[in-house]
Amino acid sequence: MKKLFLLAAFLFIAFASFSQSAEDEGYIIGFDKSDSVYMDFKVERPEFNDWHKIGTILNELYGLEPKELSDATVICDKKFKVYEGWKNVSEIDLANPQSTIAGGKDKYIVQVRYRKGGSEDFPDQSSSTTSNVILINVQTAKDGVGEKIVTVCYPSSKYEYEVAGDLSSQRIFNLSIHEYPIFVNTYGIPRGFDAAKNLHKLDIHWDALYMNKAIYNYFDKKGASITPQEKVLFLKSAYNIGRCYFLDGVYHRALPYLAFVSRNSSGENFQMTCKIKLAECLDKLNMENSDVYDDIILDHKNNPKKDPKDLDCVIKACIARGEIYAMQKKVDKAKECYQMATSIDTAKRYAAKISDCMESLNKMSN
Amino acid sequence: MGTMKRLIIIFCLSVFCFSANAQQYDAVDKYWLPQECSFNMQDESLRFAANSAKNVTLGEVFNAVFKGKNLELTKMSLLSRSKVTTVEVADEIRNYDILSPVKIVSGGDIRFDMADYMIVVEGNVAGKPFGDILIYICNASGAAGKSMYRNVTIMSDMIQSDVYSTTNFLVAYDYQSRAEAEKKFKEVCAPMLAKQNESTEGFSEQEYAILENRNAKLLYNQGQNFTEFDQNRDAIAAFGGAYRRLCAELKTKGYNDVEKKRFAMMLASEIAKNYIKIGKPEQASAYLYHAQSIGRELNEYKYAIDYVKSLNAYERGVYASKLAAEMKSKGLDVSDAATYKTINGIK
Repeated sequence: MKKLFLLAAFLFIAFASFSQSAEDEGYIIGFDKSDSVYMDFKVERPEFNDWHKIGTILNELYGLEPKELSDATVICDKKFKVYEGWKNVSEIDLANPQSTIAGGKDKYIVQVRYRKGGSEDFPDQSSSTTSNVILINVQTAKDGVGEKIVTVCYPSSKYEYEVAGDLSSQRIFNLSIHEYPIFVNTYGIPRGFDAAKNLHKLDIHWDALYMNKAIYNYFDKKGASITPQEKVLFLKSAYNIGRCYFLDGVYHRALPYLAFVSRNSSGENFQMTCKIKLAECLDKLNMENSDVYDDIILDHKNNPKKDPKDLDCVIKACIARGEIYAMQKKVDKAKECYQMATSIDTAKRYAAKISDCMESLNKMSN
Repeated sequence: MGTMKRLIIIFCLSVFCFSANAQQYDAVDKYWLPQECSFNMQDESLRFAANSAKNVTLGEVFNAVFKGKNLELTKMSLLSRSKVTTVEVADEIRNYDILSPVKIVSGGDIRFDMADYMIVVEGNVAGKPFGDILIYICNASGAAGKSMYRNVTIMSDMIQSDVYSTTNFLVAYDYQSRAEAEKKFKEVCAPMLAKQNESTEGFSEQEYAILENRNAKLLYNQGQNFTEFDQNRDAIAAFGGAYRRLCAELKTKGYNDVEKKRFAMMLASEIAKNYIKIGKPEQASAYLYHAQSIGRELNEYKYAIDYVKSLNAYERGVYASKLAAEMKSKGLDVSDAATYKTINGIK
């Protein structure tokens, strides 16, 4: 009880101090005064109360359905216990594993087994040789208040077993979660944004993500009948979701949200930063991103940007596009991009980087 | 003439015996040579090989993985065959043979159980406790009499900065001499590895065995077979292996190769279709995006249809109209094109 009280006090102080500077700093988006019309909407959807559960997390990261989880072994303090049946496994709350032997402990490990794919007639061919285990390591953050670091890993070799039974190109995720998701039932949309922003500032991206998902889903259900003001909130929540997934390294899940915002946020002050984030996300997934950079550069040519944050994005896009041209041995095109970056970078913040790029380009053309 | 006849018979017999030997040789090799390839492609410092006279110990592995870090090991827990065993003596932990939980010694023979197991190590570095090191060992493979292999995954917060990351490698147990295994790798595998993303025409059985998980075309064929029998997750894994290989290659070469782009587009589309088939549209989304992105570039708009359908209700119709206009502006024949009609019909 005392711990809860201390936590609530801490969060209140943290929120109060951060709320004073609710201006977007290029990170997650907070609320605007004009959004206050949505103050009455409560973010209290029951389906979002289970975001620390094994079933939810493994579904998000690897696409495993709760019903595909067969058993879990919880290992803690020289003891271990096997939990059988998909319901028991998927319901284990990693932030508060009270139903297991790890209840109240600072650290524990969970080894989850999942059922292999295949079909009824043809069972999975790879089942005899590949692992069907997910490892989860949970540790309480040393300097946090009720904050836990969850590391989720699908153990597979980079080589031979990369193929059989592979779940995702990204195999390890470090998620920071909060022991007490008490604030979820408390806030309307503007405050929900703000709470999410503060969670984000506390590096608890997973919780911030779900706070935004509740808002996103509310507007998503409105479909094409959404009003212009609602559209802005819809886009903000999508941007925040994309950013949170990105920060937690879940790039394949970040991509659709960032792509959606990049395409639909024309005129919004977060469009350029979103496009840069989309390009970075594509790069992480080894997907070509030159069209995104071209889009940013063309947009600036047609409608010169004035905001320093937007200009920063244009410079980044010029440099990155130049590097792609350089890789393609298109020296003149690359030079053109670097020159454009130099002309915009009046504060010379990227001078050293551009100079390095030019140097390697000159070496290439010689 | 009699001598000549005898010589011919001897020659024929030699050819027969040689080819019979070669076939037998191939049959055994295909169980261990593919893994030997992987073993040799690992960083040299991670090529751990045990034999009847030498174990691979935890201390040896830690010295290579956590280079330059002086670890003080305090506790080791082994979870194997539903049992936890704990060791709390530093030297015993360092000298622990990482293959011992599955090693079966009977008489002079050493065999291995197929089971997987996990080792958790606790301790301090520079006077502060480090995050538990998790070592997960699985995937027994190889050929008895030649070399056996185990896949080792180490998860720790000391591999890269202070967040948890992993390193994966194979550990070998040799029944043959290591020099012999390496010689075989150099003679047989090394020339084949150059064909990883090449056409599969004219591949020998041995090349198939060694490259089946490394050649994008072979993986694509595997994926198609799995799809045919509704083994969707296996199909995703096979297509995914090929897709990642191609994407990594395209990236390092500046996305110049149009044919490989087209292949990557097909693979992304197949992966997405399989995800959708098993009811995981969210996992399909990034692949659909990629397929439509290359499709638009190569004027193959049929790859955009599933992507447009996957968009939220707010955007779907708007984006479909945009793509339809884009097709027209490119001068594509849209008058009776099924793709155009489908896209244009999405609202």
